[in-house]
Amino acid sequence: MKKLVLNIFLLFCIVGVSVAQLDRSKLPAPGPAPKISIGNYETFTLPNGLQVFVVEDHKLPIVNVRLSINVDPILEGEMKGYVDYVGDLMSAGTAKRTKQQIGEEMDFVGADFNMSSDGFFGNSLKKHLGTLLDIASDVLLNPVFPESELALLKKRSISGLASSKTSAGYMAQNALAKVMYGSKHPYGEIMTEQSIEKISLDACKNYYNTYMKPNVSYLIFVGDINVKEAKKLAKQYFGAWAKGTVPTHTYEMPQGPKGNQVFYVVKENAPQSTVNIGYPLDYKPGNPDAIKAGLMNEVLGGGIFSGRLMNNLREAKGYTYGARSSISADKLTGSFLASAEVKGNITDSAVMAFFEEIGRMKNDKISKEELELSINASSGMFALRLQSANTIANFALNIARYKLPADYYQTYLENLAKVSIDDVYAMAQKYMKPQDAYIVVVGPREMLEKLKALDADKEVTVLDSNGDLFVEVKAKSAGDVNCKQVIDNYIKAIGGTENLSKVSNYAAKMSMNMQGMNIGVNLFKKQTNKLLLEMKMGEMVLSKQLLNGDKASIEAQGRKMDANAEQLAKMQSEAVIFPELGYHTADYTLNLLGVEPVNGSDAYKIEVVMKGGRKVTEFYDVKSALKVKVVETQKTPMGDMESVTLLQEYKAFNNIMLPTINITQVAGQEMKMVLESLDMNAVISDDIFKL
Amino acid sequence: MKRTRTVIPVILLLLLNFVGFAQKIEFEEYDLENGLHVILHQDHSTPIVNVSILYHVGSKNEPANRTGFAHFFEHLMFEGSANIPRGEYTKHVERAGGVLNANTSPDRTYYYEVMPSHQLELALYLESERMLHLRVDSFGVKTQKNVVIEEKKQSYDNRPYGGLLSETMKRAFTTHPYHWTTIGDPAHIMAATDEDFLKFYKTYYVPNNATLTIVGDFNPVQAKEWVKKYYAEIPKGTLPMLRPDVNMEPKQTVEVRDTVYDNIQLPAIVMGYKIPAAGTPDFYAMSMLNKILSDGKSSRLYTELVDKQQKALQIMAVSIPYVHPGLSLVFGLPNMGVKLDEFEPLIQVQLDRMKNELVSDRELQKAKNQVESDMINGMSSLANRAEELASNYTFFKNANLINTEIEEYNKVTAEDIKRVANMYMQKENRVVLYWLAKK
Repeated sequence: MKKLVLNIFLLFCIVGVSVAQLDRSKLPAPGPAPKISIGNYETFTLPNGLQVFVVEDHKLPIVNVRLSINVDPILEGEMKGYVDYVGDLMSAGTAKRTKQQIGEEMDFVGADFNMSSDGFFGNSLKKHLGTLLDIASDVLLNPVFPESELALLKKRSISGLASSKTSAGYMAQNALAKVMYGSKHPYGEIMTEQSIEKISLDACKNYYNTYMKPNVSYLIFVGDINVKEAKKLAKQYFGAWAKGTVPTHTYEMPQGPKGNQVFYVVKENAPQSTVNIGYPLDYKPGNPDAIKAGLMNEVLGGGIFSGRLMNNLREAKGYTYGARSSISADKLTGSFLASAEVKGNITDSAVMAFFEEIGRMKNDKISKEELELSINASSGMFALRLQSANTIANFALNIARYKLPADYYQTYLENLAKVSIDDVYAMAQKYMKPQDAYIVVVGPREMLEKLKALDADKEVTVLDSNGDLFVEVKAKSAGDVNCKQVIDNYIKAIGGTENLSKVSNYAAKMSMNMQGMNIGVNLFKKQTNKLLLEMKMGEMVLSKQLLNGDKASIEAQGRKMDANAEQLAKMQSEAVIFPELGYHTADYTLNLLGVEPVNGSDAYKIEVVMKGGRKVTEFYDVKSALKVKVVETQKTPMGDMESVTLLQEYKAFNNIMLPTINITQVAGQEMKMVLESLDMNAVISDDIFKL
Repeated sequence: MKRTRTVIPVILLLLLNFVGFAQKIEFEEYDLENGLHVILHQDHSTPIVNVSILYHVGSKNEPANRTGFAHFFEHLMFEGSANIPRGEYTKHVERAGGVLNANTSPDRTYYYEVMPSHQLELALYLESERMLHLRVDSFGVKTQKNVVIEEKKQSYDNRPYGGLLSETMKRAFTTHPYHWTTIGDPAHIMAATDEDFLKFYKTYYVPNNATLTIVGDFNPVQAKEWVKKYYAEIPKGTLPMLRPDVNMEPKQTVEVRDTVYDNIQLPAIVMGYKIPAAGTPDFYAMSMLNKILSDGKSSRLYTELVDKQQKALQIMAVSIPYVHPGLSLVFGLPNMGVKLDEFEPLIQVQLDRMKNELVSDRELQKAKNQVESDMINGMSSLANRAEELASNYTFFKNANLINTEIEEYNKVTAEDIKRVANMYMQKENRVVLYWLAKK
């Protein structure tokens, strides 16, 4: 009976709701706020000094295990990058397991495991935790550091650098590191091709033996595990890890700039500019300002969408997809950084908009509404992070590592709620430096000049993609030498005018390898204006170019076409056996552009413009006088493409020196053609040139 | 005494096992009269609640001359509503301590708020506002057009290898709308009028094309009441929706091979094979095949090309879970100095092994263990659970797939893998792209 009444009542209510016109202009009021409780953790320390944390979370049968090794960053110097190799080298084999076994055993149980110089991270299902820990402790305690792995790592790093070289993010990161911290600080060191080459196995082993000790480390278990189990496992797998004295290091605190300083990395034709505005700060984890200054940053451009930078640069101006700022705490040196990727042609306006907002933080107090929103948003984000038990583990780790008060996180929300408008204003006075900031931009060349106005000295420092001062490779002056001398020397070096002018027939066989197939190339030239170039795979003709006087045809994949005017002109110029003999005539215009190295050896750079407009740039070695490189820009449907041909291994044929290896590079691909035979006395029938 | 002591731990152990391994996601689902599908799943472990709406509209539902619309709405939907002024939508959520965002795929658009649990009603109200009467004003549209163009540059144009997937899709599909990108053509976005947007909105952003999912700490009786309060009055959509035919893409008969020039230093290769839609048995088999090829350091491509032959910097094989027949991709970055025409045959050797030999029992078991681990880890966040439930309902009319999908993977046999390798990893069924340095 009671139930029935209740139901009718409920029904009435519901009908009532749907009949009454819903007033949508009013926001629904929140319910009573739930209590945010922060989960507990347990801790114990093994006799070797390894402190262990356990956070229990039995919702899913998963365990995360993390080892955090806390040592001061070191200066790696000319071997920059070697500390990053330590973890990979350790995972490349132990006294018990090969690299393949480590990988296979982990993969087989679906576990994740990654070892690095500052510890490891592992994740597995509860049922496979034993396997995970067995391998993790083996890698940590018994690595063999195979030499072969070092070679592989170097190869990969070099390729990795190449894959990121053209990324604006990579360039910006390097420039920022160098500018903010300088090369005498661990944070200012950049891995380069040169530093990779120098990395030694001994340095890596030495790092392992010196720094990776249990007494500076924390082991953290999170998930479906209890303290008793954790104790047993920690002892079993990490109890034998021997303690040791670990050196500490201190560094001078980097000073920010006096007056705004602009640094620019040119990324040709970039559609966007990557803008970073920042400076180092003395701002350590858990410092007394941290909560208040963090809130100040939230208002400016923290994690929320409603920050001032977002409102200004994105919502009001449409300059960018996102603009944010951060104030980061660090033991060595903290930093402030504001950044965005902005539309290229308004880079200067975007930088000004950043400064407008950074300045406004300092000049005016924030509104009550902004204060409330940012406190609520920050509290909310804190609560959301508690969803993951890993957050509790991080809290425990931070308290231990940075010697925070034990109740730092328990009282965090309380302290956050207490922050006032005046607190935020005081923080802005202390940490906002709109007059003393580095402005680091990666963007299109056109914007460089415009940024000068934003620099205190009205000057922009141009950096390269490694963050080093950009030094333009200017062509060296060729001195008193002129084109005629270069060409004359070349002709002399390969056999002299007399020998060369006697040659009227030319039959060459060449070969090259493409996609694993051997391709034969036959080239016949007969003076004047007769040329046959055919490419064959076995007996199958892949393509054939034919020139006879003022007619020419091109045949490819069974289709034959008459050459157009441009192709005809090109073939005619190629039919000439030694065109250099005619370079002094009116058919050619030469221009000596300077001296540039080719494969490490200086060469004269000469632009050759032929009758009909074809233009090539040729390089003649200063010492040997031989032609070593030819560059030509060709129009293709994909736009202009540059082909570079390197001429190598000159050998004598009937007193005439000719290159026997021809390497052509186009669009990142390389074709190597090897001269198999050459006959300059051959009798060549005119028949083969018949169209 | 002794007896009891031994008994209790055994019971405890059983209980622990039971609790530990009971990963079944309990949920309830129902429809409102206007067609809105509602899914509720409670988890009271933390006082937060995840509210999401999946609109069954993605880039594949766009007209060919208005590509990028579904994604553009991802921006417009934050502009406000009849009752929420421009710029206030996100503020309401953030002021309540919540976070919000959205994402778009070729198959659907997904909007969500994660809130402290006492703000559930606010999140429901806000989502209902933009479903009922979105604010489409000229200033907002104009600004968001610029923002989206910058997003495209940031995510695709100014990023090495940024166009990899879109360039592959463009060539793999000639007829099916999968051939255009989710972010769309900037020209289409710039040319679109406010009316175009309104029409798109009235067509697709309607309750009968949406799934509302509430996951987390809430009282279901209360939640249902609020759902009714805010959503029941939203009228059903009546405009015809563009639903491309599942099999509209003609069968490919010749290999497509092309070169893309990009601002990069290291070349790359992509091989895209046409495969059946997500959720089909062959899709699961292809996914297992790809795991064996490239999941983990002991996978075949990694062991051979990265470790032993040292030809690859990176190599990856993955099936993309599209709702219509889609693609399985092999993507490789060779080490410096390794040319693509040398690299490609080395990959091919590994693909051919899949066709010619059965994978070993241990490899198959490894792949199954990896799936199990991935799935259980994937269940740890409320957000993932919400999205899985909504997608499984929308695309397969089976929200419970979240609990049973692992069985589909476990059904795959070594013979299945060999069969699908032969069936789909054919030359005439693929696109091969060489990614080369632009001058």
